[in-house]
Amino acid sequence: MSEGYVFAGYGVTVATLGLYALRVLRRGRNLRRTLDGSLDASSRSAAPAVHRTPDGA
Amino acid sequence: MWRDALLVAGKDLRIEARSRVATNQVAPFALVVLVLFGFALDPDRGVLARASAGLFWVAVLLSSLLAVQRSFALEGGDATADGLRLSGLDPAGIFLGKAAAVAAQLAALQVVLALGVVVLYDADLGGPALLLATCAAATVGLAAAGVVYGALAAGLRVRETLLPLLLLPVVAPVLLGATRAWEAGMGLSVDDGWRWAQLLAVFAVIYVTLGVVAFGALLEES
Amino acid sequence: MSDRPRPATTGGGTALLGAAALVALATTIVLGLRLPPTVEQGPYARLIAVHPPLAWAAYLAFAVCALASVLWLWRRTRAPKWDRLAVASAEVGVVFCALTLVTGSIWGRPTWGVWWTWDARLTSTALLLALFAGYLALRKVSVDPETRARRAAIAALVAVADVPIVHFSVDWWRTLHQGRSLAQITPQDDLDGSYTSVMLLGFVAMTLLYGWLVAHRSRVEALEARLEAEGLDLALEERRAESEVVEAVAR
Repeated sequence: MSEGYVFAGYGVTVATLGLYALRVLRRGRNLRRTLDGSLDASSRSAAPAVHRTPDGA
Repeated sequence: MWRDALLVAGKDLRIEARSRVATNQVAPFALVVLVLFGFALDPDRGVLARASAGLFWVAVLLSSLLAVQRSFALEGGDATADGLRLSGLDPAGIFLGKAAAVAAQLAALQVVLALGVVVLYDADLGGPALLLATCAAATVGLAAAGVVYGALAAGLRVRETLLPLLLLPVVAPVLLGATRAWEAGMGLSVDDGWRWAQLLAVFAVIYVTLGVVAFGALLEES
Repeated sequence: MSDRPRPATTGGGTALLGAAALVALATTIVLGLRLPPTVEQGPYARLIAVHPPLAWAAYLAFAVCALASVLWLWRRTRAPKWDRLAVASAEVGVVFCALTLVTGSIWGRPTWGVWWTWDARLTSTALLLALFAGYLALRKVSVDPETRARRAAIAALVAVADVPIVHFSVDWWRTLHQGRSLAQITPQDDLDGSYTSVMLLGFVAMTLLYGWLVAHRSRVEALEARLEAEGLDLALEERRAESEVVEAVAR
């Protein structure tokens, strides 16, 4: 039982830092994906969407 | 700079004299806080009297939030920074003027609260020199820090909730020091009250300086 | 299109930094858990391998935030990278700071029986956390990036100016009320210095980890800025495309 506090201390440190690191990395990955995706999108919109109806949005 | 400061201070105080927000809203609020403390703590007079220094200063701190919010609300809500900038006044002067006006209101508030504490908590305000010195230093520091943060939060839609979060941790040492100094002055502790008063003075100097130096940058638009 | 899933914010040797941090941290933990129990505190003094290093990293983070804020405010050195560094360092700092408090609390509970002691250092650290939590809250408010950076930089400096005052005032306050202090934890029977050396290793590990986290976090910030800028471009593109369609139909 007494060991529990020590493990809790180490554990919460590792867990928190690890989760935070993952969060930062994941956000980076998502941003990169969105940016790369939007580059495709902008090259698509250069050829205008003539299939769009004029009264659409 | 000083001329502009007097101009701004005068304007703020004149508006206050006409609208009486501090007298009709902030002061009653402060007194209500004192009464609520009485509810929260055992009205066994002993506890309240012993805690009166701390309760006094907490009430001052909470009221200062209102005073600072009001000081910037005067400038026109969401367009605050623009209005101040376009006025052409020296930013440092604006800062000093606003801080002076807030300080004046806080000082008046403290008189009321001191009476409240004596009456409601049976506090014994001995050692008046130390108590007054503490009030002076603390008030200047509170007003200075308050106006700086008021400007930081000015014009933001969330300013009502953001300002307390920003300001209170910063002025926590003022609460700490002022309470300790008052307790020493009131004979409730054997601490060296004047050392605390000096700390408050240092705080005041630092924040007045910061305000004077940084206010121009604060009002700047890119 | 992407060949292999690498972290999008990697580059410039951060992988190396990360590896070093991981190794140092793992070593610290293993050694820390292996430390012999002390006379006064039993096994709990082992937390010396994480608690003080976390605190150190937090202070480092906030100092860097303040420095970056100065560099941004000073016109001669103004550059977006300082603003990004400031927010990254502050956010990482808040994480370390919160962990410092949590580990301090976990340490205090079995040692003195309470979850919180108004120990001078813990109290100052708690206030520091509040100061920078406020800073982060200020940053989240949406105004244009330039104004936001300026306000945040000033807020950081104003907060940092408060730190020495907080430190002294809390210290004076609590030295009157002696008693339990985490400063009194260096075990007396640390004869071979094993506790001290593990703690030092912990300092190194946390510093490396701080560096790695800040590097990635500031790059995330840079990507966000690009996204904002490109989002604007995209919107303009689509507007233009729409008007072309309308023109084509009208003709």
